[in-house]
Formats: sequence, C-alpha cells, structure tokens
Amino acid sequence: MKMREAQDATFARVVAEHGPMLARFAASFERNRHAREDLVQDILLGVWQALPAFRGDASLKTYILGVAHRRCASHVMREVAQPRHEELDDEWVDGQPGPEALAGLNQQQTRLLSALRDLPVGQRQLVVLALEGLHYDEIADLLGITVGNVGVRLNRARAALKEQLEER
Amino acid sequence: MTEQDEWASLQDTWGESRPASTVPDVGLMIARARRERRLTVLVLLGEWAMMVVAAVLVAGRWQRVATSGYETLWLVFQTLLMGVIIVVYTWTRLAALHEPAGTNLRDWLALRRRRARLGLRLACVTRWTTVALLPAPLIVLAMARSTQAGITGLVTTTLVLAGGWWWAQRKRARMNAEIAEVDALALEWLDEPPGPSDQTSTA
Repeated sequence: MKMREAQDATFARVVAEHGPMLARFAASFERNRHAREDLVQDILLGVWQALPAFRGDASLKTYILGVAHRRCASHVMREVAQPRHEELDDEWVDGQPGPEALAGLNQQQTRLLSALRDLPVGQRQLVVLALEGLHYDEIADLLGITVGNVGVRLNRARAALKEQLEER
Repeated sequence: MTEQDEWASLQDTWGESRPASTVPDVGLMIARARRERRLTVLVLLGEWAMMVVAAVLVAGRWQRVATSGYETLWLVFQTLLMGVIIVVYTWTRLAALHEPAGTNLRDWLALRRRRARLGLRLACVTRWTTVALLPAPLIVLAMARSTQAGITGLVTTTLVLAGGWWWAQRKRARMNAEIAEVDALALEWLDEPPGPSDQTSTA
C-alpha cells in the first residue's frame, strides 16, 4: 500500500513538473482540442505505466519524452488509419476563440505553434525535441539514429521552420 | 541577431507556452487505470480457468473420443486453436499493460512490425488449417448418430470454419495495413526505407 502511495506521489510530481511540456508536445501533433486532450491523457497513462521501470539511465525528462514520442507516433498512425473529417482548428470551426487564444498564448507563441504544425512530421518531431532542450545525443537515443544524422536533419528542419515563420 | 540567438529566443517562446490541454485529474486517471488493469487480469484468469475446464473435460472423455479418429483430430484441433488464441490474447493484453521502457523509436517501430508479421503468420496458419478442415462438416454429418445431431454438427462446424476464415481474412488485412503504416512512419520520421516486405502480401 505504501509503495502504491509512493508511486502515486511520484507520478503526481512528474505531472506537476512535466505536464506543461507534455501538453506542448501533444499540441504540436494535434490541433483539435478534444483529440489533444485525449492524447495528453494517453501520454500520461503511458508515463504512469512506464515510471516503475525508470532506472535513471537517461534523465527523467528524456525518459518521459520518449514515452510521449511513442504515444504521439501511435496517434499519428491511428490518424492515418482512421482520419477524422474535421481537420480545422476549433477556432475556425465554430468561430469562437481557439484553445490557444483561450489559454493566453501570445501572438509569437501561436505563430510558432502554427509554423511547427505545418512542418512535415519527421522534421516537426526533431524541432520539438530540440526546442524542449534535448541535446543531439539524447535525440539520437530517442529516435535510434546517429548523432550526425540528427545534426543534418535538424539543420534542415530548422531552416524549414524559419521559412514557415517568415511566411507568417 | 545571430542564428543561435534566434534559436534561443524560439526556445524561450516555446518553453513559456502553455497550450490549452486540460491535464486530467491525476488521481481519477490512476484509479481508472488500476480498475482497468484489475479487470484485464480478472478476464485473463477467467479465460485460463475456462481453458483448464476444457482441458479437463477433454482428458475425461479421451478414452471415448479416441475410438473415433476424426473426432480425436477435431477435438485436438479445437483445443490447440483455443490454446493458441488464449496465449496470443494473454500476451497482447499483458503487453498493453506495460509501456516498453527504454525503447527508441526505431526499435519500437521494429517491434510493431515484428508483431504485425507474427499476426500475419497466425492468420496464414488459420486460413490453411481451415482449408484442410473443409471436409469436416460433411464428415460430422456422415458420422452422426441421428439426423438432428448431424445437422447440429454440420451447422456448428461450418460456423466454426467460416468464423475462422473470416477472422483470418480480417486479421490479414489489418496486419498488412499495420505494416504499411509502420513502414510509412519509419520513412517519414526516420528516413528509413521500408523493411523487407516478403511477409506482407504472401500470407
């Protein structure tokens, strides 16, 4: 019973500390608010399931991002298999302020999020991981590619992001 | 502004953003996950209990059954099929309860591909076994002790075979789609060309 309480406390601490990061991560993969909330919940469930196996080989942040990354990949696969008809932002669908606006994202943050979502998913994941402060070797470990490959692909992705930002 | 400054500024912008996602009630979420886990374990225990009961029944009737060749074959087939299904379902459900720890995206995709190929093989075995057992309904009809028993046996075995065939067809289509999705994801996310596709369309 005590072990379970300790696990719950650890998980609650992780959510408090890394919850916003996970929400950002999910937001870069899903623009629909309800689907995004489901995705965040799915990621958190994955984190809860994975936490007991955390051995400290990598930082907790990298470990959690790994879980989030896999869950987002599953989400993308599900979306490919069963695409939803409604692809627009909530803001455009019902004419009401969108979730980003309601959450108080400033113009720059909204612009960045929007530019990120327009990147091809392969580039988007790299940029998001780098924006979260992960080093090349950590990204390489997460993806299973070489550090050199991360460098090359990240440079391309950053250039693409810059283009997207300039267009806005 | 240098490129590094620009990047640092983007990181700050990103780090300060809080996209709207209601973080669910953690306590509630854990409680629900635990309930689901308990339910899964109970269902698995129930299935294994049924399997044990079936095995005991088969063992109890073995002397009587063994006198008839086709019945023995049929019973062994059913028991083996049930065993395979139950093992696969147990494995799948237990795997779903655990997040693979320390797996990078490439390994994770490879794992999904391997599982899908295993599913394809299972579907293939089921299809060919069904083909091999196609005469079974007629044998059941011919060997029945009464007309009613014959018709019941004929309908039952036909339904079992049709169900197996239908399941195998669906499984095959699903697994082929899964492999195609994994390959597409690997190409898009990792620049990795699709893996050997020898098993994707032959099953």
